[in-house]
Amino acid sequence: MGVGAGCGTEDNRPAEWSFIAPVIMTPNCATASCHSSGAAVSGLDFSTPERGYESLVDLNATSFYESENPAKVTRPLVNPCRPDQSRIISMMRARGAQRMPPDRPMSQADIELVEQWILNGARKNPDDKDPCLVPANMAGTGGTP
Amino acid sequence: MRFLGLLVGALVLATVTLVPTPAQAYPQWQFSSGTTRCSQCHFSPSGGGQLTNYGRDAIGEDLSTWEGDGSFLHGATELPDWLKLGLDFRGAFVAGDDGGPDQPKSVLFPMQMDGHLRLEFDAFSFNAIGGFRAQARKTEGGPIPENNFQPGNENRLVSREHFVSWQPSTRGAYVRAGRFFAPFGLRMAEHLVYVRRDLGFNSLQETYNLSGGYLENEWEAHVTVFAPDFVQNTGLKEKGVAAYYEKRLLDETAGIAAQVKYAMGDAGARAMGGLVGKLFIESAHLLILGEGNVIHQMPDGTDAAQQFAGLFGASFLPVRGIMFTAFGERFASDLLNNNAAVNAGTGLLSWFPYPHFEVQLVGRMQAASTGDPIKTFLAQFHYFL
Repeated sequence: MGVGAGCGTEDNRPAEWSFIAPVIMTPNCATASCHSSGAAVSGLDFSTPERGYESLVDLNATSFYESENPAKVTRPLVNPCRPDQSRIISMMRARGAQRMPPDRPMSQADIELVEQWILNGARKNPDDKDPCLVPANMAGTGGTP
Repeated sequence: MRFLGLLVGALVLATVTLVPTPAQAYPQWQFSSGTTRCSQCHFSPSGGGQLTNYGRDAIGEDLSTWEGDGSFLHGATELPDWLKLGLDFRGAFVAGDDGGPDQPKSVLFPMQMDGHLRLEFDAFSFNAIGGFRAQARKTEGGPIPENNFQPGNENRLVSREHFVSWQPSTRGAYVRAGRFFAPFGLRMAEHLVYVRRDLGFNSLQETYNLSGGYLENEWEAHVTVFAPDFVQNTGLKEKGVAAYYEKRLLDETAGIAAQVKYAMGDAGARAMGGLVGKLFIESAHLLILGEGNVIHQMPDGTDAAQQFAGLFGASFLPVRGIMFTAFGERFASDLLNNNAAVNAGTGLLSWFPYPHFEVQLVGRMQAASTGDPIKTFLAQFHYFL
């Protein structure tokens, strides 16, 4: 379950929402004036794992950045199985999107852990159905990898 | 659209970078100003918040470049003994580059407007700090989609601290109950230092507590049982207990402290322990200070992880009214992985020209092992009444 990391070190932390929510997302995002339940900026709330998961995977988030889309993007921040198409990763890396969290860069290992979770299907529980599995009747028709 | 993006970016930068800690404190003054306890200058047993008469006299006579009257309204009126009032105002200019698009950004804005109230009745007192809550974007570019979470607190007026206290003497036992930060760690005014941000002491993360302790010149101890902010929902949803013990050394020019905290949240718990140290070298006008904490994260149903949050630096106080502080910080979200760390370096030049006035310049750079660093410059003007 661990993901590889550079500098001769290895990340043995689980790429699971039950770990990522309380250890990475809530401390960095659920600050008082940002994505706490009191402020819920942009309608996103990371104060609990339940609300945080919904905020990333189910809810639409608006982008205000011309560089991203002048027509105002309203779509979820996570595209399961596709970290390269998940806006939350662009924001964490400040690539064509406003940096999040804005007060501090996230460590490479934390971003890679979130990427791995998305690559694994961005499931709330590891036992949930894997959305990355391509049904047999969809094989060869361009389904997600 | 580009202007809107820049505006929103500037507001976000301002909100997350500059919103000051509600109860301003300068741990740099401990020992360096001749005091041994933070509670000599502050009514709060652990420091921060409204100043005592001793603290106001110190600002007026010892700590500012030019002497003046540090008392309420510059001494223009005298309040009854049972009433203490105060006001904090801060305006700031901030500029920063976080490596993302549309950088750098800058903004000039009013940062803080807080009122202070204290009512004293013998050993009992009621203390409150209230003001405006800053907030990043909400409606710019359109309303929040209806199906999204809606803000739970539309009221921008917020009481950051309010508590009742029993403290029969400035030294000895005390008990207090209400909303405030549990005594823990270096009470730096800069709420984004990692030993505050990552340990549950960020801006507006005050908890509701029942706290007690004992204060002496040679030592002090505090134990706090805490619960989440259930009124305004601005803080973390953690409950638990924290303890802090500080021993003064070297003829009360130094202090070393041990601290522990156990916090339970919706998805697990975390235990942390750390050490805090301060040493004032009078001949060099130098105060050295540091704090290091190890955090044991215990998420429900999955593996645990060890983290670290630390700060080490020094303040140089060459002449009255001038304080230069520099410190380095490190936060590691996984102690076993070098790629899981973020480091920061900060320099602060504070000038207290005249009682009630402060001008401060701050430069800060933060960097992870890869990617562009975040650079921030801040200039602020502070006036308190």
